[in-house]
Amino acid sequence: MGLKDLIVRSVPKASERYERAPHVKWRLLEGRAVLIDANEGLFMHLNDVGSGIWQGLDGKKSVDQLISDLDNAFDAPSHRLRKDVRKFLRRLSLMELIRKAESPTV
Amino acid sequence: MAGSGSLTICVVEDHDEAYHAWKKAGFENKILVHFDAHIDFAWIAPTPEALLEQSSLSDMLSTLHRTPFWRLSEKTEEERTHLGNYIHQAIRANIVREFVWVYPDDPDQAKQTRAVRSILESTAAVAPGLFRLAQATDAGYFEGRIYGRRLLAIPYSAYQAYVPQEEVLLDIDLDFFIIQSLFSRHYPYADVRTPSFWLSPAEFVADLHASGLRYEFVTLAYSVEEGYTPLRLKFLGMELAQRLLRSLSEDEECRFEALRDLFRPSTRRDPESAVRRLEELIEAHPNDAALHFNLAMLMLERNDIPGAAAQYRKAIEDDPTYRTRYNHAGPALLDLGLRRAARASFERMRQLDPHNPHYRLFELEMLIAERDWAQAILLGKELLKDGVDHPAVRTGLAESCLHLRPYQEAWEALGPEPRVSASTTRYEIRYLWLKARVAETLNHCEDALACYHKLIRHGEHSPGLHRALARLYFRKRNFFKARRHLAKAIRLAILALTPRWWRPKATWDSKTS
Repeated sequence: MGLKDLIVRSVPKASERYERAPHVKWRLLEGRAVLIDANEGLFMHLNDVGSGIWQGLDGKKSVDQLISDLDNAFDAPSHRLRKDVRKFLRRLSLMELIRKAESPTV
Repeated sequence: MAGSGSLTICVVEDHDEAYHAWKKAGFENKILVHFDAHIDFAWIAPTPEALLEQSSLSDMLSTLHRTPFWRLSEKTEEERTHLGNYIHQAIRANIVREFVWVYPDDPDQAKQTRAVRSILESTAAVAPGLFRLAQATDAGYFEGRIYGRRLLAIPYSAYQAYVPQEEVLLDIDLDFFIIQSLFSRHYPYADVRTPSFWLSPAEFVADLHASGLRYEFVTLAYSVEEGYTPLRLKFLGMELAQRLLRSLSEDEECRFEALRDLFRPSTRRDPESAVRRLEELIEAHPNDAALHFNLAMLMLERNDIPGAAAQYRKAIEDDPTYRTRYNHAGPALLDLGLRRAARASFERMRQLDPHNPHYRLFELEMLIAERDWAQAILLGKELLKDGVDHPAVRTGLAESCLHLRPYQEAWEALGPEPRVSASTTRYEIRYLWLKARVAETLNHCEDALACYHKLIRHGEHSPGLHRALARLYFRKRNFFKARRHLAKAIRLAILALTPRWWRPKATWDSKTS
């Protein structure tokens, strides 16, 4: 595997679906998602936008659908939102907090 | 379980069974008076669910900071109860509202007090927000608060001054009578090569009655199976249970006195008369396992192997619990790192019971301690073939294979993760370390990662663990995580090198203490 493959692989594609990793325990508290990564022993809490994305990671919605949901909920330029969501998903993926859904469910 | 009138005595082998007995009897909010040479108060780390249950984010953060130890294991706190932490669980389950630890008296009171202080401080240092020490005196009296509830640590000679008005739960470990010095180099064991006791059950019961302590439920643990009570002294527990229930008959007094006399220095100098006295008593009580076992040990010391073997056989016939791997001092000596003495004790005892199935496990542990890997592999395979599925067998075999490099055999020996109980946590951790190391060597990257992550869930955080994770993530080309783990490994390594005053300390409420 080359470096290019690695970078391309890590960037979420518009049609891909992501789900939360089973080892991550979480709860919504005061509108924010609180996460415990049992594998790493890490505790973290997300901001409003991050919590919105996290809630949508159910393995059913594609990245594009997630972005359009957020577009309706938050007043932000569309291109900026798209870039930020993909960056955030890439980071969650590298932290192994989310994984690609096996097969699309309807 | 035995009872007389309103008094119930629950005799158990491992002390954590006491927690289940209290729970079954439905006790709540009681004062626990715990006579033991060990505090039995290791922390049980809460699960992430306990954190996520909090009602607000600020509560969650405050709980997180107040409780610096968390266990991400899927087991509940109760499932993780063992003989080292059952009191903690009893407090959490609201069975105990006040905990009084009565520790043994020692002629060197100053040293004993320092040892108790060190035990309490090291426990309190883990969670200073939950366990605060408030007061200490030179007389060895300590007071503190655990989860806001009162804790007292008192020497045996002083406990009569602190007898509560209400009825208490009385909890006694037999090793309280045997392990006297908490600062000894043999601690947490007694000096098992010369078993003895510092307090007799008769004196203990007399003091108990004089103190006016009110109790209706007593738990008494033998603690033979962990090596704290030498098997020769198990009769002290039987005597204590009987004395708590009723007065002994003249005949019983005579029998227990003869057994106690065996451990006096004067009797040690004259074993002939001790043997004669035991033989006379055995004629009158042919089915007393304690008499037979002690006679067997005396005969063994005199190298009368056939005589000792006959007495030993009779002892285990009358009471099969005398056929244990703890019927000699070997396991405790091995734990203390005294390999030669452990081997000598084992070889001597093996002459009496060469086919004791428990011995093969000890022999495997001995071979591993002596780094005789080839022999350990042979014995380990034999044990597995005979269906001895103790976690120590699999880990021992795998460790031996790992050293001699048949990695595939090590992998096969480890097999699927064993179902282990809370009392075998240390085997579980050893199993995970071995499996991770073997998997890494065999390039089973995902298996190795899974094992290292499970170790983190068990609360293991060491530079080596994070270095291994960094290495594996590097192989997986997840440089993001590789970098994070490498940074963590470096941080932990630096922390390990920092002077002691940088480490967490116990909190004392009073500066004058």
